[in-house]
Amino acid sequence: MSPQRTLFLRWLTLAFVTAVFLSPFTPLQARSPGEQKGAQSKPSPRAQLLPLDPLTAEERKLAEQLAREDGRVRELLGAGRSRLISVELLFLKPEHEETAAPTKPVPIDRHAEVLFRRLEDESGVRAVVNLTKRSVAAAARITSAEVPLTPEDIAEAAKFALEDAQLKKELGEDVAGYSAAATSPGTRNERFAITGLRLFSSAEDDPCTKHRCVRLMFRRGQDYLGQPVVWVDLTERHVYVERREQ
Amino acid sequence: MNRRQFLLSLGLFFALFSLSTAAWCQAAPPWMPCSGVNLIDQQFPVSGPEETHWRLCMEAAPKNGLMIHWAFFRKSPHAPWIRIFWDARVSDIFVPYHSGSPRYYDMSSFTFQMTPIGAADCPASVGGTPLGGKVCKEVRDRGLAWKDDARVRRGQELVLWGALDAANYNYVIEWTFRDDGVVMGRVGATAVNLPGVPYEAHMHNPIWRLDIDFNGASSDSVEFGTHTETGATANDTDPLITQEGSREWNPHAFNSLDVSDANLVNSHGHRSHLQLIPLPTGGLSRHQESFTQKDFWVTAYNGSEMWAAQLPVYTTPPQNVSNADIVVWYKGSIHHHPRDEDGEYVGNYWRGEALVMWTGFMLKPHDLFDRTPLYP
Repeated sequence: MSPQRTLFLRWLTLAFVTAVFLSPFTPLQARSPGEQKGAQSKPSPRAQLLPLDPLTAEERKLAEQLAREDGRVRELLGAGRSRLISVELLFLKPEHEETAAPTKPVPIDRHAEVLFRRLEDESGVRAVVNLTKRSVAAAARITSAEVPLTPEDIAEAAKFALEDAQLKKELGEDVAGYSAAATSPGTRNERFAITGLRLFSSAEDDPCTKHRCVRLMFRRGQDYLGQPVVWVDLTERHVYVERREQ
Repeated sequence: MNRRQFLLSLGLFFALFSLSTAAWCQAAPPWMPCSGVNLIDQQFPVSGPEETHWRLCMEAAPKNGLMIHWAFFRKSPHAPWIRIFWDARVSDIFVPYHSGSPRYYDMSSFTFQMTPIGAADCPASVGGTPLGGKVCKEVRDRGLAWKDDARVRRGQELVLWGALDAANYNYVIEWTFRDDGVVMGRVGATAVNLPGVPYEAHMHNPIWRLDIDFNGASSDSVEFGTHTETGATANDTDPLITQEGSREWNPHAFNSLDVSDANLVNSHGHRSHLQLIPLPTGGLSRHQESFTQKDFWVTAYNGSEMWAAQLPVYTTPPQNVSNADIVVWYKGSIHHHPRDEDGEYVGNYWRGEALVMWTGFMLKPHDLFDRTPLYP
């Protein structure tokens, strides 16, 4: 084999090894998902929140504040008393969102849905707050049925119910346990617990057609009280204790 | 080495460089708007060279429970990532009792919290990993993918589930992402029958809202897959749904909602579809409320339209849903006819738990792959 041919073969081998070795390090090479995860988990200097990161306590407070300061929301709430029901993260699509699989961060504003309850007529107000732009994007009146029941509602209903003489008599010596549970509804690990469901009606003579009503359930250990059936009209603060056919 | 040999080896270098780069290079993974336990990245098979891949965000929240956002699928290591969902959730669970009252909206009327999820719910021995204390991630064998005599391939799946503490009830909300690109959504009802009337029959109707952004938000269309038998022959048609509205599922017609994107075809030039196929358990209910009168709904995307009971309002007047940003809805049903297996009275207290009852749907790729997936 001539020296020239040997040199050529050495060059060829070197070119092959170098090409294969360099290819994974080329800038064309995409990062693996694991590598991107690593890059994402590295905190940025300002620890900027991603669009789907859970709302922070400060954001919840800000969302309520922005909503309450908004003219449309104030008008919808009216002059009467109102109560905050919930503040939840919203993942809304930005306008002109066209890139099918973006590899770079997409500007998606962080939004929160804020719900209020109007005590005067049991209707509510829904506000969509743009936390990024610190503005209220939309506000609308919602019906009583769309104002969800809260743990506070159940606690309030339980408090009224446990003041009822007939119910006290029915519960007997368990009253003390249920009274303690009424201060923390839904606590599952306690021996006694009280939970509740919203009651609706369409009957003209039923107070729950217009009022905010809660059906209460009493749990002792793992078992639920069968009778009596207890429900509370929160609007009128009236307790109903009934025995039903099983 | 003469000039000719030098140029030849240089050319060979660049050729080899390009070839090996192409071999190594994969489409860059999509940027994700979530982090920590909410970011899910799962390749299949779980070990060995990748064949397919899912990448998505989840959110575990009060009221709607476990939701999926920004989900992408890659059908092969060198294929582009394809967006499937912007948002997938159970919009509401409507629960009418047979006596006419109560009629609960178990999501929109409450702010139910998710239950804790621990090692007992989600044991490592079945591929489980509790995420954030409220969600279980299971990566597991799903049985046969295909079989041809002695040749066989088993499949795998990623399952995410969490449960809403709906007072006496628990609702299990489950999302499955399979290695063959199939997505399944299920809701399971379990725990304690309604105290006071534990023997009263009732229905749990979960309504899913699926904001499918197939290959991106725009340019999506929906066809209504329909099978018709005429004498000894049969015919399958897919009429385009041009305006917002509803459709009824007929089991004899094998109806499905078939979502496609104007710009997405496979290597055969066939337009890719995702077929929404009901997986009912027993049947699909009808009630006096108008939104329950149909099984499928198609709406144009509107970020404020989230609640199923408003569907008749959302679709009036009907907007265009052809070549648009669309949302599809499906209502399933769980008919709960109480039985002694649910529990019993012990004195004045009800003791026992109703075993999990399921209903759901499947979102199945049709002409998305170029060939049989999971095939050597």
